Amino acid sequence: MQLEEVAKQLHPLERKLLPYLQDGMTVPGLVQKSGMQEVEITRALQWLENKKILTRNKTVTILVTLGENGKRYLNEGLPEQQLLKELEKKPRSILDVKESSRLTHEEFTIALGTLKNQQAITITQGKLDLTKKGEELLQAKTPEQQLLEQLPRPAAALDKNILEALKKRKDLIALEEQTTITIQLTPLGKQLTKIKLTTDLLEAVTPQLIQQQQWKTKAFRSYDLQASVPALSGGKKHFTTHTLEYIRNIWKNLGFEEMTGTKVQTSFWNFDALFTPQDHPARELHDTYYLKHPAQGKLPGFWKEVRAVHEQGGKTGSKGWGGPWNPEEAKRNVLRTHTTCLSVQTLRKIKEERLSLPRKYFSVGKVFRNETLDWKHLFEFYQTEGIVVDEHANLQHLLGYLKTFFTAMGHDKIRFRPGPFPYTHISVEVDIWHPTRKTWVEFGGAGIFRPEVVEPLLGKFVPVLAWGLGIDRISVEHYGIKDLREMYGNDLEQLRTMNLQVR
Amino acid sequence: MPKITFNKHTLLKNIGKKLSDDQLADRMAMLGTDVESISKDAIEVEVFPNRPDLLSEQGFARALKTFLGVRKGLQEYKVNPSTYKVIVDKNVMMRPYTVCAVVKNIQFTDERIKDIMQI
Repeated sequence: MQLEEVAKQLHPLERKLLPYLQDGMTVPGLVQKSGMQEVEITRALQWLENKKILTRNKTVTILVTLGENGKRYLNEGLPEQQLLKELEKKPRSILDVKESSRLTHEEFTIALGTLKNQQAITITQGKLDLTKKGEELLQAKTPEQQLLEQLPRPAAALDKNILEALKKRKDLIALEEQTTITIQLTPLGKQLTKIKLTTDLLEAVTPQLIQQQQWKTKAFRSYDLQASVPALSGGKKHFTTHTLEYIRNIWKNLGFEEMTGTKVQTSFWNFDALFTPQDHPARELHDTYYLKHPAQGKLPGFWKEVRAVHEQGGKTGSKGWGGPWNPEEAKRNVLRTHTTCLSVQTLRKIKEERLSLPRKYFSVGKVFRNETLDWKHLFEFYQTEGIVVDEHANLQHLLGYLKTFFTAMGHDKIRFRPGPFPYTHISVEVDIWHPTRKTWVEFGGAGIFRPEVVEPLLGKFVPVLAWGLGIDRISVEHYGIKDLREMYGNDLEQLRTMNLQVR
Repeated sequence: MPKITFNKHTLLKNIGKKLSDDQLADRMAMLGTDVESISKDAIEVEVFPNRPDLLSEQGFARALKTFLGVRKGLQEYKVNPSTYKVIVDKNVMMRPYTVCAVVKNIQFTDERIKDIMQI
């Protein structure tokens, strides 16, 4: 850049400071010379560095100053010296010395330890006595005291071993980090300091300036287009929220209606309506969170039909699970373990509100499982759920919907494996090909609801395609997250830098 | 979900067909039992609780043989009436059914004992 051009862009503060600049100068030095304020100088130096007029070299020095106790001991003498004085005349017992000295228990212990280390005292049968070294120390100043008297001084100028020993003791000394900035002019900077700078440049356009036509006689300061500006962070959605909305849109675009519902459900909706036997392992405490208050909820009016299906198959032609079905067990409140409880509630709604078929529904919601929290297990996570209620629906349709969804999520290699679920038949598990790990990863389950599920709810059997897919796994893969907990974290840095493009 | 480890050679011998690791893993997965790992001698597979018949090499091979078309159709086992009685206590309310059989002339080897323990 041309010298004149750079000169034109200089801020008034830079202009003011420039004549005083010399290699090796520090900020306090410049304050003295220029009469400017420290904050003005630091700012101007930063700007000048951005313009490549100078470089700032930072050196950090550690300054040692006196601590609270340090100040006190300088007057009273260090505890070990006080202790030496107590022993000046004759050997005495430890307890006796401790009593007559004005030292605290802590100080006394330290003093005793220090003197023993320096071989200044001996302890025989509970009695303290001075050694020859101790007598010498009594006359002279201890190295610790000598050091304290020198303070404040930079750590580099002090004896390292004694300093370390003093650091360990309470409030004797304090350490302060001091950053010193020394400047070094670049060749451009050196040229600039030599030329005479006009300080009388126009900084802003004012009505006065136009009326009096000052612009005709004076020059304007140029803009510095390279100047760094503060970074601004605009508002941004959390990437998990973003994914959920993206998924919602996929289903809506496919013509699905949204199902919503409460996170607390009775076992009836969460398990029994889904033909999950009351002794099924998934209902045990180690998998499911049960509520203490309120421990029970209400059963819907048609609960006896569900009981009949469990006990002997109801009108479905199935034999049921056999054994008695307990309504009290079904009343127990749980934190929903899947969003499929919303699907069965919706099926009941279709019957009660006499809605016409076919119908398609989806949900995106949080579910809860009793897992120990670590980097790959959470006790709460999101699921996306879907049902298609249609007289003519079949397995091919189900696979088609799933394939469409995963393609929209950016996964086009997908396979279906046979799977068993208590409430669907036929059932499939959905795997997605992981291109970097070169393996199939399981993403969810799907199937056609069993007659034992549909009949009590709808009063007749209609094929209901159903699926429940884990969202977190999809997100983790997409965002490259190593720790699942980050999915619901609020690390601002991560939120700002995360690329929200889902596909 | 129970994870079962099979001896790969025993499994293949029972199937009676040569399969590469990839083929074996793919076919086993499509039977509804996902393969966790496959090595020189062992194969680890996830079996759902609704398929206790897949918990031994022999049982698994039987299912896979049918799936691969090596031997199709329902396997018949000769069962004789027995004089043993199984008594189910009246207090067993939930699922009060049981099925038992006495199997004779079995030679127990280390392998066979491991099989039984896995079930």
